[in-house]
Amino acid sequence: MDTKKIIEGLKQAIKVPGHNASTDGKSGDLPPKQGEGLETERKEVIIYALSTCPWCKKAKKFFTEKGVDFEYIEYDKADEETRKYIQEDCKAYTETLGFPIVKIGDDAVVGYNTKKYSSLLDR
Amino acid sequence: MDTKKRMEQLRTMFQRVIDPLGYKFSPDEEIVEFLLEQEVMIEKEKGSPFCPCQGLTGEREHDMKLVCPCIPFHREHYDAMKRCWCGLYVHKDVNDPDELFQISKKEFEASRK
Amino acid sequence: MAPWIFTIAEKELNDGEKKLVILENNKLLLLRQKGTFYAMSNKSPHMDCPLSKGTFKEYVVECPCHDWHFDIRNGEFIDAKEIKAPIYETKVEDGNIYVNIE
Repeated sequence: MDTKKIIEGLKQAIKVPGHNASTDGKSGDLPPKQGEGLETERKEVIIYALSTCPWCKKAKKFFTEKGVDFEYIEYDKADEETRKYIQEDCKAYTETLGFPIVKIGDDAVVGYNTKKYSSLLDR
Repeated sequence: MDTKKRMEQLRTMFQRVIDPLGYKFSPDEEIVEFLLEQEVMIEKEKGSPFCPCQGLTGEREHDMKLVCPCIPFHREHYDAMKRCWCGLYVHKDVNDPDELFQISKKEFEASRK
Repeated sequence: MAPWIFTIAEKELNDGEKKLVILENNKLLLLRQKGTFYAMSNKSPHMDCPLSKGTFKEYVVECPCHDWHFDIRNGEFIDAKEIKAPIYETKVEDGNIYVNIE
């Protein structure tokens, strides 16, 4: 898996204040219109993980079995730049970098908790 | 050193540390074996048996608080979960570790306010 | 009879310093602070690292391996006082330091 490519993709997808996101035409960057595309629109799921963490593997299994597409990025196997990026991206949710960190749309769940994953997916 | 042998050494040393803190190794032996093996691998690579489920930053002050057993540095948070973050250890009165959930430190702190 | 064992002469350990002593099969760390002598096990109760290789300030010795801090007066690990490094009584007689290893 090419982690660098994924991270580049993530950086593009994440809203930066002052950044005019509408130019790339991605639906995720546009304000949602009522009654439009609600059924087909799926939340983006990113799992930040450690290669040594069994709960990360359980989280991966959960989303795989649900048939949900997700990105799975191993912090400990990533390069320095990617690690710094993940640290920044997760600052708001976990100071201690407790993995897994599962981002579902605009929300995040720190830790393995299938009930929380399900409720965010269904929300 | 042989991985299995080192796993047993860690088990013996860590038992000594966690016992007075009110913790024991999880009754989930499969998780315990897996985590201890990861710690031996991490120790071989990085010099210390860091928590397999928390991220290192390269800053000594941050990372040293993640050397197993890291309970002393996260005591209130772990006591609230009745387990440590990776689940290697649980409170002595816990029989079914599957009933315990990970709560992020932020959630834990918010719940105390 | 209390097993007081001779370690080193008082003048061999200056204030604010520490020294590893080997008594029979026991490795002890002798420390001197503000004129008082302290003795504790040289092994950290965490992973048996040698405290003699750590740093020593005021009444605290820091393990060189993982930075665990111990109070030399009672052996307590600063971050969780339930965890203790064994400590031993000391006395000075005729300019010599003795340790009670019982």
